[in-house]
Amino acid sequence: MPAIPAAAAAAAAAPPPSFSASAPLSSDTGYTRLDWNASGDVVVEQARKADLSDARTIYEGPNHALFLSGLGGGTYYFSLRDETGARSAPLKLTVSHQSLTQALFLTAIGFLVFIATVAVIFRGARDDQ
Amino acid sequence: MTSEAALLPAGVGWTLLAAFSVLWIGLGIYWGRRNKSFEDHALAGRNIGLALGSATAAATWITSNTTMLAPQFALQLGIWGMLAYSTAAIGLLLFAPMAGRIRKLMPNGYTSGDFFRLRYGRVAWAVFLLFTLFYSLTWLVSMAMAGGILLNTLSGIPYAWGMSVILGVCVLYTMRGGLAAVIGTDFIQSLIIIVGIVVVGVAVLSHVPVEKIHANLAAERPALLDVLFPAAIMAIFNNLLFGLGEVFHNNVWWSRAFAFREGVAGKAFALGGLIWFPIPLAAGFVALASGALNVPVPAADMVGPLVVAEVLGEAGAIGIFIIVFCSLASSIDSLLAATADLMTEDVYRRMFRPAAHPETLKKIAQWVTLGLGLFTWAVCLPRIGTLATVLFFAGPLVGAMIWPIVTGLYWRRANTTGAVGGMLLGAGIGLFFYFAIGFYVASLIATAVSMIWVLACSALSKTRFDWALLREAE
Repeated sequence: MPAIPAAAAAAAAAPPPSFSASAPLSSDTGYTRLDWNASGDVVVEQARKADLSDARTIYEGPNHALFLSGLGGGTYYFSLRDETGARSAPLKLTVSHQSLTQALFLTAIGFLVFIATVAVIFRGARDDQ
Repeated sequence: MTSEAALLPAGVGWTLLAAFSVLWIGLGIYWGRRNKSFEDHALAGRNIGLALGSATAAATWITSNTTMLAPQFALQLGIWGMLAYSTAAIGLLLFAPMAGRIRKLMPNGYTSGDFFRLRYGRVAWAVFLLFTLFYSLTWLVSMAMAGGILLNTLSGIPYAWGMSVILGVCVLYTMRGGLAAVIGTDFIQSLIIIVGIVVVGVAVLSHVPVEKIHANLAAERPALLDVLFPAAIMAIFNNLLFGLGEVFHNNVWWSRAFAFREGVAGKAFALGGLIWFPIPLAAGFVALASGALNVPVPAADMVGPLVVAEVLGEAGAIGIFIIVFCSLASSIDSLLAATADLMTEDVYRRMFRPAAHPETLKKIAQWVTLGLGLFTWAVCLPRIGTLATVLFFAGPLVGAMIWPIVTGLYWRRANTTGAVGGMLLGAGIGLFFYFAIGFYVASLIATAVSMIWVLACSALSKTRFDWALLREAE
């Protein structure tokens, strides 16, 4: 029987990779961070379908976290695969951006406050002597 | 920040740390040798010229946040986030005309606390001191912590050692040299930072064309290019008003307004703002290129160093180490000096020893600097990660101070009820929305509420302030 290399044996004995989050993630900003536990290199895959049939690789390497940003609204699924091929349970992320109406309303208020501040400074004290 | 491999060998990190520590302390001692009184120590004899003035305005505003948080903002909130961060330059540009007015109204002033005490009385002064000390101390703590964490991530230097050395060096040269040393070192630090950022920007562009960066973002991170990205558009005016509040109230800037030679302050702050404006854009651009360069980012606050190390290798990592050290030092020293002066003038002198001799005040300011350094060190040592986020609580506090300050400088009818109510109501309601919606609306709402209250109180006011009361004798 051929000898099994120590690293491969250790990897085979290690538990499958798993995400640190125990519940599905949600984001109202389009960014989030994936954290995971794994004993070696992993492949992180991202999919839009729950069965991961459209999965694509978004990271491959030894890190234990990946920052994601700029995601459009919708549902995303992530999975991990280690060197032995062992897979994690998929992690669900729901991105639901803040209300655009609220954002535009607050931006308009910000603009008015800013313009008023500029006006006070540049108008100066000339009518207040 | 996660514990990934360091970008530099620890030996290189220690060598750089030692070399720059010796340089800053040596210059601090050299520049401080002529300081005899509190005025020399706190305001550099009120004789800072345009070149040093512009450089110190820009360098103080280039904090570790500019080199680290601006890329993070771009990575999180895209093009709008990058522009939102750069709007902080408007704080300096608008402070330019205000600085001239401050010099004219308060030729003998020392601190922003003097303004609140003389303009609005002791209650407003107490609220101001509470808000500004919270802001200054959390800023100081967050930067010292960031220093330790960044040096550890960049070169593997243990957190406690990196944090202690950065803080210790800044305390030593600020104690010895006062504002003259702070401004002198700021000049050198600003040159190093600007050259470094330009080199990094050119290097990134030579590695990956803009078209490829755009294509990558459109495919992988479409929201970063979205003109109607809700969180990002809310951040624009929130960040702008946070920056205005920071500059308008803090003694870091007022002490410079008092320290600049007559006629210099306006030009120096305007030039400082223009010098500062492109830096977060360049730093943010680096972050947007991370996807096209195939740089995996484990934590948003590490995107800048990771991209630079990828593009420039070990030389880039050395460069980012130096830039980070300079950014941290140029802000920590300014905060130490300005906060020590505020506590010496507003607390020690005004509350306990009105007749204190100028030489005694200088010594007190030096001891307060040391005390602040030790306090910051003790708070930072346990490395409580969530502590740095407390700085964001300061957003509504500083936003709520904008209108009491601006109207207090220009309107005789601005009054104490307006100032106190504006600060307390604005800060309270802003903090509520910090938790209800997010950090990216808190300063905006605080400023709006404070503005409405101040405007209402001013409109109903029958009092007219006598500007001569601000010309307090020394």
